[in-house]
Amino acid sequence: MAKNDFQTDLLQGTLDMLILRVLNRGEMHGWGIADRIEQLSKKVLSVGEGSLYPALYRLQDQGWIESEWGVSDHNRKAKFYRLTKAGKKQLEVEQETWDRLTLAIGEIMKSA
Amino acid sequence: MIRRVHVTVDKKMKLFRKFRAFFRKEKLDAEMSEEMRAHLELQATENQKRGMSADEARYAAQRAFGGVEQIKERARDERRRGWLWLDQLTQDLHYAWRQFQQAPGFVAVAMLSLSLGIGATTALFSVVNEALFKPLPVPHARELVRFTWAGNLGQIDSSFSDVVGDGPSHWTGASFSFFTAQRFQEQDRLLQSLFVFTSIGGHTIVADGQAEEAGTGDYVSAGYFEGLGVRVSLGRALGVADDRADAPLAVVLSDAYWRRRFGGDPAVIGKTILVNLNPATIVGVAPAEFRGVGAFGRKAALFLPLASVERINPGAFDLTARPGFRWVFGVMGRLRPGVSATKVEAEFAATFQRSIVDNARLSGAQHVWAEGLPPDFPRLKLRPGSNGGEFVVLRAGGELAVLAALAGTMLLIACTNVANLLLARGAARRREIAVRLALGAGRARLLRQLLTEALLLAGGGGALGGLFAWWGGDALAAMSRFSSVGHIEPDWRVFGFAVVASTLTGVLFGLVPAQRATRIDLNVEFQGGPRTTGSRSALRLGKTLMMVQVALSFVVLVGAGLFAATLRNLRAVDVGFPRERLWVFELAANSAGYRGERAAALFERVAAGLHELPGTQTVAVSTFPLVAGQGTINGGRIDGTPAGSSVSVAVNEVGGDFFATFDLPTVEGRTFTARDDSSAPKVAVVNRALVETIFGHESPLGRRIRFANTVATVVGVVRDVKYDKVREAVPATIYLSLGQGTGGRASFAVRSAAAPAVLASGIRRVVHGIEPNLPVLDLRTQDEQIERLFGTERMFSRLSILVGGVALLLVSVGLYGLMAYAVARRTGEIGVRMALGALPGRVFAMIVRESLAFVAAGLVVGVATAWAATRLIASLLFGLTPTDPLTYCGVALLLGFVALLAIWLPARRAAKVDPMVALRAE
Repeated sequence: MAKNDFQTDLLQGTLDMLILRVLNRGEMHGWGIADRIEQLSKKVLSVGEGSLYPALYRLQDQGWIESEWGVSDHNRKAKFYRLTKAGKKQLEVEQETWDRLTLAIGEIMKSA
Repeated sequence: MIRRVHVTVDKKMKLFRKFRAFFRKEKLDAEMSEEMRAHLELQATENQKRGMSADEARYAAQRAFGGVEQIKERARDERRRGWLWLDQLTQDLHYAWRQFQQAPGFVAVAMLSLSLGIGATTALFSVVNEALFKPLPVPHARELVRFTWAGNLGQIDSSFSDVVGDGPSHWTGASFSFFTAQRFQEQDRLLQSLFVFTSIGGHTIVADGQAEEAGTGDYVSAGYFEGLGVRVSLGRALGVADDRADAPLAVVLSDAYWRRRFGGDPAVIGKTILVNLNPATIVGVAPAEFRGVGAFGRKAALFLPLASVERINPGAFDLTARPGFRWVFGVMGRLRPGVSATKVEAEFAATFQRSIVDNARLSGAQHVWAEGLPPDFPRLKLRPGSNGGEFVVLRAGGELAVLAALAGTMLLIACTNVANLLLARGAARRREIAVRLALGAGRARLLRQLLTEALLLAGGGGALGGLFAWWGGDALAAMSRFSSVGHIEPDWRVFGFAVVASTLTGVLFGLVPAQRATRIDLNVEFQGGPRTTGSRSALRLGKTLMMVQVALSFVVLVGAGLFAATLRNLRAVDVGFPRERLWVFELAANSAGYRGERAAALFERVAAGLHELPGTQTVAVSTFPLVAGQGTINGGRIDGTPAGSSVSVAVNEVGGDFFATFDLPTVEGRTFTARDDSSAPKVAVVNRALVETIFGHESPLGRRIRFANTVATVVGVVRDVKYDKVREAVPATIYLSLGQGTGGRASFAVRSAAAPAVLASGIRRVVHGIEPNLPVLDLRTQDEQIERLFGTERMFSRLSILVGGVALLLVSVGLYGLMAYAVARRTGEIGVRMALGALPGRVFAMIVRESLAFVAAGLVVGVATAWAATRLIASLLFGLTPTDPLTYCGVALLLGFVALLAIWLPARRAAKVDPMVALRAE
């Protein structure tokens, strides 16, 4: 199956939302986030590092996530990201918008 | 499309994070590398779990990851998106700094040029600012309005001061008669406050037994301090209770006078002093920054109640008998909130015109405009009063324009000079710029880089220029006739002006050279090199700029030449009497209570006392000092002839050895004797000019002349001497006997062989011995006195010579730079010429000829410009026309000579080109 990378503008916003969603379950390092998105999407979506890290820095600049150095499961130094309060609110907003949008698109696709 | 909604992002935190990111770039970069390495390791571990070998797992992870550096760069861009410009700016600045370090000579010359240009314009602006823009130091100055009027004065029988004529029979003024001002005051409810004031110079103050001249006193109505919102720094202000004719006299001192005379002693409040011999109590001290509303040129030392003006200066304005005659009172008001000046003006307009008509009727004039007012009758006009609205400024308009033109030209010359330098530098940096373009630098980015350099230069020049302006402003004010402005306090306006001027010049001289420098054809650049082609157009532009510079310098130098010649001509004018060893001073006997005969007797006593001083030859007494810009002109005619035959006559009341002192032997008849006193019939001595204008060839002796409500019999005729001004021809002059005069103020002229210091103390001793309450005013030599008249001319002459000198310097530096650059560019070509047999002398001549061609073109443009521009200063010149051929030729020769000097070295270098070396380099 062809893997989709998040390159276009349209999907970049979606990637941010997905990252927020993944981090909503708890803090995680960069590789873990990419891995989790791939797992959850049943390997349909693959997050290239070229998209992941810029997105992480962007989110951090917005103040939606914050980071801290820690030790990974394999006893290695890694940078862990977690949602901030503002990030949690942002996730709710994006979730809501997304639901509305998919519903609307779904309606159109069904009716047409 | 998903729309981002920014909900609760703490903006401050965000900004803080960005700032931190910007300043901790290295640390964040290191963290990023670390993070990515961790990522790769995790991926490799995962791969190993799936059964890959350790090496394989690592490679696979790296393959999947892609270029670490690209990702880092993208991440970096993401992180500092908002700060990219700042990042690039620091880069630009850093780079510009390195460029400057490589070319310190270029930077020094450019900065110096700019600082001279910007400094001169800023210094000038600070003077103009002081005069025109700076508001009075009072709260809400914008609410203040100044009453003014405009119209034809022809039919109004009054005496006006500070009137500006704009066009025939149309005048503008800011002073009103006492009668009119009173009518305004009756209507003051239209304004939040309305107040009236007038300035009188030369008060004698006696404090602690010491008599001294205090300077200007401002007489102000009750609402003055309150209406302006001026709060005294000590004691109390003048109020309603003080502004009554029968009130005990109260005085508020200016801060400067308080410090000068009383050493800033707070105990002066309540102290009694004598103001023109009237006891007055010091009730307050005005704040340091407040010097009255007549800000420009008239700064008050004392503030006194308006009601006391007659008591302190008897007869000065004759307010009781003729309140509508002297128009010397300023009127200002503060607008009520929400009421426009136009509305108030409409309310007062009728009052103003009616007061003039009423006054004419009251003073018994025949015509009282029964058939309605003529259309050009003076109309009231309310103007903004935030700067005091003084009118002296308007009169200075012409001078300010000339100064502005001078400073502007200087700035323009500096700009062209720096533009040329940048152009040459851009050409020298072609290779570097080409390499940067080839490596992928954006043209816009490069343009910005070059502009940054230009702006940096301008900024540096501006800062330096600001420093020049700081002390230059004071010097300029001192040089100008605005010397009474005193210390110039640069405020935010001056600062803003310097910043704007620097930025504008930076963009102006930076843009074109920068644009040119980045317009490079890379193919041509790397194939043939810049030696043969490419730089031609830059050189052409450079030559055009040089031409402009030569033309501008020519104009400035012609101006300098004309002003210098004017000053020389003025100084050489024969005033009609010998000026050597002649000392002049004034006595204001009226301020010590002397009037009329008593004053005349006092003056004669002083004159007699001065005669006793060792070394004294003669002593003259007169109402007006000669050639001092003072005097009175009346309409005069032979008694019995109709009023229409009046001509202008100058009048002076004289006594002592006046005619001997000024070397005026009688041509006919006699001069005055002691018998010509107030009891004798009034007699006059006239000058030849008067005889010629009024009597023609008849003998005037025994004839009667009528002027200013007086009739006098002519008893003698004397030679002509200058009256009040050097520039003007000797007017028809009538001399009256001081013994029959009315003046309370006199000027003494002492011709003495004594040493100056001895004479000065002798004069003071004599005057003090006769009347201790009478200070000796303004002791100076006659030469100094005459020189004072040339203030404006001196200022223009000095300034234009200064600007001209700088222009000459800049032109020679610019020319040298341009030609040195041109020769360097053409080394190859010259080499070929020499190889083909051209002699060094011919090469030398070729270079000189080429450069002189555009210098000559600049001179032609300069002559045309000067021809047109100097017309505007025609009225300021004396003894020569604005197109004086001698000046034009002299300046052209000077410029040509300096140009030749500047070209000499580069041309010599061209002639010394070794064909072998030049061709080998090719």
